[in-house]
Amino acid sequence: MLLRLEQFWSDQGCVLLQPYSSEVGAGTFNPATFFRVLGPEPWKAAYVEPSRRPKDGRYGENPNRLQHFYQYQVVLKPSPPDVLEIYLESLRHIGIDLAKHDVRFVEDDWESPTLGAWGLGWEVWLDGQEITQFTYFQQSGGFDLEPISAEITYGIERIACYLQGVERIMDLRWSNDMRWDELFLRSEVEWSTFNFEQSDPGLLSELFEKFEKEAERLFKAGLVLPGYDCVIKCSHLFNLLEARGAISVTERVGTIARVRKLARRAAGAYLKQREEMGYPLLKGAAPGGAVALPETPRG
Amino acid sequence: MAETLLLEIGCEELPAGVIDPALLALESSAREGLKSARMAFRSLRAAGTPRRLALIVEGVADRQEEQLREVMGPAVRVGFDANGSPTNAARGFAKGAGVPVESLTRVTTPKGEYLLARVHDTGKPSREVLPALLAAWIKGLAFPKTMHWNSTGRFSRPVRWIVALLGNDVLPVQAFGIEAGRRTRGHRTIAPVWFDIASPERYAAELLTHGVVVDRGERRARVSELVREAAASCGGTAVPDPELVDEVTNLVEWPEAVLGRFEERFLALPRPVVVTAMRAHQRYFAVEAESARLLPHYVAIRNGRGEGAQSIRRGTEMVLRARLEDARFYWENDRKVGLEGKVRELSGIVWHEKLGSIHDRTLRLERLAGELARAIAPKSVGVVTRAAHLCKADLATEMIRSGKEFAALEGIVGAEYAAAQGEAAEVVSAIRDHIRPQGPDDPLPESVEGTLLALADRLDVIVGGFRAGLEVSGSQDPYGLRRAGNGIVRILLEKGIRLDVEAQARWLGSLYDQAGIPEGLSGFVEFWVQRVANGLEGRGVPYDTSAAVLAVRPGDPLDALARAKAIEEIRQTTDFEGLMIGYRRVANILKTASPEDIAGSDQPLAERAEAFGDKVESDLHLATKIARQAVETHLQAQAPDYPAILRHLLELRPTIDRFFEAVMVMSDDVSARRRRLGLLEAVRQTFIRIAEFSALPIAPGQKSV
Repeated sequence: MLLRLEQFWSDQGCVLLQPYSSEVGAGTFNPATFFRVLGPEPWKAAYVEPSRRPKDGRYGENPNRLQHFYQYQVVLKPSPPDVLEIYLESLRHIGIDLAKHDVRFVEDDWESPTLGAWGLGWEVWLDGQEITQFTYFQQSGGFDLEPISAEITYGIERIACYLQGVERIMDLRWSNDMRWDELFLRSEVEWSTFNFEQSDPGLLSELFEKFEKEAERLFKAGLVLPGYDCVIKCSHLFNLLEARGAISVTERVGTIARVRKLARRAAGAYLKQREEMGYPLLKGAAPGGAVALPETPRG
Repeated sequence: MAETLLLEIGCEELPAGVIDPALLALESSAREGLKSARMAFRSLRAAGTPRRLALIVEGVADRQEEQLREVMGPAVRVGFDANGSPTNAARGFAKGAGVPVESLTRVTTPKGEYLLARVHDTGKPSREVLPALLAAWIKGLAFPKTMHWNSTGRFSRPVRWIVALLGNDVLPVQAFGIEAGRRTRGHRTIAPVWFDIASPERYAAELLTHGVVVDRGERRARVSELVREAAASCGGTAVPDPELVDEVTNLVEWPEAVLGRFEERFLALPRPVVVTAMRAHQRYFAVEAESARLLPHYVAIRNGRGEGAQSIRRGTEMVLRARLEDARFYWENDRKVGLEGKVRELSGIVWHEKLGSIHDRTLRLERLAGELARAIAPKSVGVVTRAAHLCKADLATEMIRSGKEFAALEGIVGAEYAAAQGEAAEVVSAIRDHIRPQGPDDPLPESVEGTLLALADRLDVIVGGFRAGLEVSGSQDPYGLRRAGNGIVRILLEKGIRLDVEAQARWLGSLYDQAGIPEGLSGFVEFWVQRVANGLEGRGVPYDTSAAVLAVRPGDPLDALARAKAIEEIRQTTDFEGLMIGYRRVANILKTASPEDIAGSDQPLAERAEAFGDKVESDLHLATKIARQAVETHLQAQAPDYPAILRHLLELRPTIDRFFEAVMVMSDDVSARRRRLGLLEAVRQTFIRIAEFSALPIAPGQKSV
């Protein structure tokens, strides 16, 4: 399935990238999305991203909720006019017969308060199950976006369940002779235990503060990408603290605001850097990005 | 010849909630637009689905109605020269108006004689006028949230095609960089193709053959019927949920029902939890038996038809099982700990950094609710205190803390846990009640105990909010202080409970003092007065009367309402003027006096009548003393007779008049001056036991603005 997605989006002109090397809650945190959607340069990329959501751990007992799962992330900038049709085509390409399923685009205003990013779009449902998050990015790092990017985030395990006709992620065949539970169950149990019971809130808070300071120091030194890595770390540490129940409702708001402030600085620094570099990816394209022409009707 | 107009705005999937408002807006802008463009039509209606907003206008006239207009031109003396020949000014005007210069007539105005053109406007053909109108209607649609998808404008979701037909012809409409045509798209999975609409009359029928029920009402009826049938097929009825029917109607272009099932073991979960798991995200309809007991079935509405019902049912079952599994996970873990344990865990949850934990809050609620119960319903002290102890415990449960759909069940789920661990029924219902009312139209708490707890809970939010320095400004109410205040006023007025909220707030403040939480913002009284004023306004009390009664003793809304009603009553009569003149004479002269003169007068009513030299003085002294005693006696009553109090005040009038006729108040003799001013101040004090009358106009029935 992943191979087919890679082939499909490669044919659509996407750069195929690899996962980022730091713990993230979603592929959006990967610099290939967070930074690349900023500014006028066009961008098309696709990659797998392991996503960690400490709070969602269920010790491997819930058939489709995990604290570690995979996303397949596609970013298209600018968003093509027939982007939804292309997306549906990608589902057919991986073997989903749309006529035999209930495909639904359910309103979802996506927001990442820590990244200062938001967009409008949908959860895509296949028979009541959310399989994809589709977002037209409006802001990232607090900056208005132009041109607008479309972000498509496939939930790999859930789609795979459909394709393999199994009801629990644990029963997924990951290869011809390996099942998901054989590969990941132990890890899910251990991480759930760590996230909910064993993580050290004191240490996590201390690390949060240190990475926050380090991010500020690096931004001052003009190092955008290393600084942003610290922001990613802060965000993950925040998620761990929250899963541990170590953050109150009011602290939560304040802590999120601290991460958002850093993300904003990162975005501002990146925009400045690209401008100074003369927007190398613009190449022949008109400044401000090509305006999408109306869709040519396809039969 | 009259023709039918069709406009279809083709979109990517619109949010269910915006469709109905957008269709209404489209209808009304079309109705007004056609009217002001003088274009007759027979009927007009909007239709729509998540992927299209459409407008069908039947019997559109082929041109604008003709019209006779009169246009004023230059003054006659400018328009004609001395010889009576038209000047360039007159020629220019006539040309501009499109009439021959000879046809200009004259009209006399206060400013002199002017030229007037009578213009016969024959109107333009509809197909010339309509394109601009249609484009304006499209652009004029407003949504609560809009987005960009390219640089052509904002809409709820991207607009991808536009159909604009008048009769069989395409109208040249342009919007969002798209040229209108006759091509539309069928249902995403039933007929994922572009096809042409031959004529507006064929629109609905052709869409139907492409898997789209475009009329919203028709689709809604189908959804209701499908849900009913499916529920009946497993021997139950769908739990009535008109809002969900509305929403589901606007999530699909072609509805079909899928009946699903979940394992019976999940029925051991509380009903609100099970229904929420089905309803909140999945939009499934719950099914119950005649006994109102839930059945392990649900109805899901699919957007599509044909093959696949099996796999869809399996898919929906799987996702519902995961949600119910989550709920069961929370429910069992929480019950292992029990509510007492959860109450202890509340000390780990910060309410606000300046105000301590939710556990601190719980301790305050226990004391405050107990205090209220002692004052209002002494028999309920035990139940209220127990309910106060447990009412916030659900905030520590995993069911609520998960942040999942069940988090909306705060209070409700707390009551379920309390019931499950065998708390008394009164305690359970008080917990369920204490979160009510959530908004101005929400139901109030039912039980006495729940009412008291709801009052305590809201008062703590407000007093705590002020201590923490949470400002309420403009339309912002991020911490719900205003909502809490309005809730208290509503409860007290609708339930007829007398409570001096200001005094309770002071008492509660002393608990904060004991905990070492310092005073924060001032302005509680202003805030509270505004809440009560809103409550009184909702009951038809005019602004000035409400300001007058709330200027004194605003703490008790029910009492303020009684005083306002008495004043409103007397304001309709001629007595009012007498009352007001008496008060004004007293108040006006006091206003001109220096503060030392009034301050120097010491409690004149306590003095004996002999202290007052003049007979008119001692008369006023006596009359005031009697009136004051009567007023105070009335005020002791549970429900004071305010009309009677006002009559006592009215009776002071002749004595006041005689006093002013006979005595020179501002005498040069300091001691006489101070004595008289002191006496008048005592009169004023008696009046303002009821209201600050200076906020009111004198004349009866007259409302000040």
